[in-house]
Amino acid sequence: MRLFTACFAHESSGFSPIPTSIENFRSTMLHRPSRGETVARRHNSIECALSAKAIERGYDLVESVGAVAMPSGPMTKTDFECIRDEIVSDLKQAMPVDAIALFLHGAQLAHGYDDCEGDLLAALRASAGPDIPIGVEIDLHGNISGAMIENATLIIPCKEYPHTDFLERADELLDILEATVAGRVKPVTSWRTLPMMGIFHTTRQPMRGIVDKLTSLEKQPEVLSASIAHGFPWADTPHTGMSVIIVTNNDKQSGDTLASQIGAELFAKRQQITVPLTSIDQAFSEAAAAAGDGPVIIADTADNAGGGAASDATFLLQEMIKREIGQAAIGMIWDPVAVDLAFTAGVGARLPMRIGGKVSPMSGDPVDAEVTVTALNKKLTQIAFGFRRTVGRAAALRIGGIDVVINANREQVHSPDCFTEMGIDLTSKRLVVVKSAQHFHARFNTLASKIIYAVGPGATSVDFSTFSYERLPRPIWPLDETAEFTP
Amino acid sequence: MRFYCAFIAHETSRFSPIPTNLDSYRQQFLYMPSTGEGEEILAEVMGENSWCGALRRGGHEVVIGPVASAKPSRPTPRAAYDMLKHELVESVRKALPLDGVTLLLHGAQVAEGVDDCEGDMLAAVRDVVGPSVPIGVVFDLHGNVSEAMTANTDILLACLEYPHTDFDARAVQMSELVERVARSEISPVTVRRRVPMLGTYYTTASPMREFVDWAKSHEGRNGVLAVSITHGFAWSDVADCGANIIICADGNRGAAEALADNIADRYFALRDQIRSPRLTAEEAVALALSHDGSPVIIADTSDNPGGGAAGDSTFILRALLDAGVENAALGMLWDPVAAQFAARAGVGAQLKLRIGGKTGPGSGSPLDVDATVLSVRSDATQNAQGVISPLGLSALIQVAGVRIVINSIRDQVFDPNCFEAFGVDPRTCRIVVVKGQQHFRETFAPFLSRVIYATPPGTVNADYRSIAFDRAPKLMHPIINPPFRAFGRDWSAS
Repeated sequence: MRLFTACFAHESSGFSPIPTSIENFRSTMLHRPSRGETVARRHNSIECALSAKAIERGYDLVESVGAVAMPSGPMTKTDFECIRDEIVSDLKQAMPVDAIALFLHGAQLAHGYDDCEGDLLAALRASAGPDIPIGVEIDLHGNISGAMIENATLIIPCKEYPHTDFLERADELLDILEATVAGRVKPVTSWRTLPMMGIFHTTRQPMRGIVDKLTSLEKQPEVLSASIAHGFPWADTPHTGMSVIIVTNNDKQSGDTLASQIGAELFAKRQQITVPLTSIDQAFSEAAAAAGDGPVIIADTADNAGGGAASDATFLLQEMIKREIGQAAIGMIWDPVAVDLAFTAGVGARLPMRIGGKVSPMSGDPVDAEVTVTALNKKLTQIAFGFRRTVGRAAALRIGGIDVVINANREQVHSPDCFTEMGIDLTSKRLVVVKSAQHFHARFNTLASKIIYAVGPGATSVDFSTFSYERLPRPIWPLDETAEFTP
Repeated sequence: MRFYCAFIAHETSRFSPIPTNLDSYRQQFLYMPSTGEGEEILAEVMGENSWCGALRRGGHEVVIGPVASAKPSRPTPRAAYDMLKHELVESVRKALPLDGVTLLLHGAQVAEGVDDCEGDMLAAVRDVVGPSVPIGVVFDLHGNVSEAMTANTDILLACLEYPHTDFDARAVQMSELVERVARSEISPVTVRRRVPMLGTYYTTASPMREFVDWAKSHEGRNGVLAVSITHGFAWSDVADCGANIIICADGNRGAAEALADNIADRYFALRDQIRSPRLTAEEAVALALSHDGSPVIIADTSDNPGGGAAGDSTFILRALLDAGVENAALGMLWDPVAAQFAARAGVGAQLKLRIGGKTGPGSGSPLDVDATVLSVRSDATQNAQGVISPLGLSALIQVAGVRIVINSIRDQVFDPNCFEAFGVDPRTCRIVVVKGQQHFRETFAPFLSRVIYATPPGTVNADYRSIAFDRAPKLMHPIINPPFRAFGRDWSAS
């Protein structure tokens, strides 16, 4: 099978203070084979999994662009068009191909484009013609548009949040594409959008049960793939929100029925599956009251770099200092200025430092404190989505009884390495604050006595009333109590 | 004859938020004779225009020791300082026999555990060369002078001008005097008088200008070899902080002492006339707006990177925006994060930016603004008193009526090119705010209409009464007003 692959993934937040150009991709991953340019390509990454698996399977692989950037604001128009056109041109060069497999995000925005994936897929479909199957693996935080459904043959989001199942989904996608090319199956998509948005952890009931139900549906012979795209609420577009995608073997009617059923269950249980709004104050009170082995983890969900926030907000750190909390740690606060100064000062130095609060009102006020530099690491790494990834330059500072990890490359906390590689023993802590919405859960779960999801101010706050939306499909829950779903 | 030349300079502020290490020197310049590291900077720093060039032109053999300078910042860690000192002492030892030692030092260098780096280094050099080899030092008028500095030098003189336009000339004057000592033509004595004042005095303004000219007029008469008027550097916070008069004379100590007393008395008597008035950001902006003529330059003296500040404070910018000033420019606001954001957003982009306020309380609160990106450059430079210095990734943004140059490599404004490189002609602006105290003046003088020295809060804030000094002497004007007794004598109000 001659397979064309490309990866162009950026979760774009309309509320992020961080601008995005091709430079943002250069600092994460940018592979442009037709130009001979490769920056920090990660063979052992989720985003390259489709290509890696295609090689394992012995396909005749034509690999196009691999471009990944940390979540941030919409990309500049010219840079988006440049990468989009490059993928299309690579496809034209590669034709004829048997199938196309793409890794996209699903929530990518650019200036002038509120549906980057739909736009890219339409362009690829136009070049490939109507018959070549296009399979797309996306993040479950994608907002699915009509253009995406129309131009892709099948779309498979990951099922788990934290996203622990990207590799399995990649295998499924290639299996179905292979069967399609061989004429063994004819994938048909049933798609239902829901008038709701939010953040939904698949680690908790009743969402856990709904996801397990999807997996068991896939055992039915006519169902090729059953998924929920949770949507990405920080994108102000007409297609923002949750949707259900059922791909059947040419059985649209069964697919539609299943999509309606799953949709109805999700909408009915919306209050139970959404992340509860726990204020910062409430989070610290709950943490103080908690008893048990191991630290209490408070997730600073509103300042999640993995959702386009700056990860430099000080609201929780200020509260920790004010409450004189000891045996505590917080990380990672993005502050390239303070990291540089800490590196200059050296380990053991004690000096006044200003930390965080660097980029927008959502960052809060910077914290001025007398700090001791306890560790410096030029190549901090952590495990994200099953792969060891480089975080880069980081420093550990001590402010009273609080260990603070600051980093130079904006990145959320995925694994405890962010602390332990900086010499901070988490088992000795009573409280650990992580800047992450949920991905930390995969590797902190076993050491935490309790996990609290705090919602302060920030670019990834789940208090959606703090943002001004103009283009959302209304009514939509939880902004509009009048939202309804008719199966 | 055979002369030794070395250059070690760091103006140290204990109140700076910016730490220092050996890499801080590498970023400016660092030559280590033991390894040859940084050899390429010698042609520029110790070349034809320097006193080393003058010695070579005089037919002398010149041995170059360590050459090290870092931008003003916090004290140098002990290990790094010890390494510099070791380079100095060992290269002097290796260079023996010598006819003379000539050094350029700052005077306000502090290392962890060493309050008087210059005195410490000079004592070590004297130890190596012995009492008969003349040692000459030229230093910055912002240096603090110690007993160890006068005791271990034969010729000690500072630049006289602020901006320091005469540094090269004074260095040559120093090396010529050392040469004369080596030839036994003169037998120098050094007299130092401490003057109990903390301040920065612009030699471009009357009556400081006339005072400096008068003092210098004594040179070459009655055996006076050199007269120095030092201002000192309060933010080093060491016991030797403060102003000095230093007379180098050929013998006749009594006459030198009388002259030193006379100049010191005049210096102290001028204290209220030569110090610049304190002006808040709001007052400075109002004063600029009331001035008929343009451009008015407002110097943000409290946030001068050349004095150890971060260059990221927002006090004057806030005042400009609050006053609704049109056609103003401000540079350079050190903010590598905002510079990167502006660059990535691209020229023409309109975006919300948080600018400044990055490093400490002296930076003020960051400002949240609606900005338009007008220019982005990664190759812009300025001429910093002869040294071409990169600004790093930089952007020009427009916020209301103010165009702001944001840079990534911390530096004061030396050169109008800090604005011109981004398409801003400072000549056509109504108000230009520069992060700096005085060095900009040399290059802005041809076109400026007026300079206003603002003293908002900041790292090098000159509100001496509010500074939490630990080691600096407190019996100083303007912390207290005379009459008082200091440095073994009475200072009267008259």
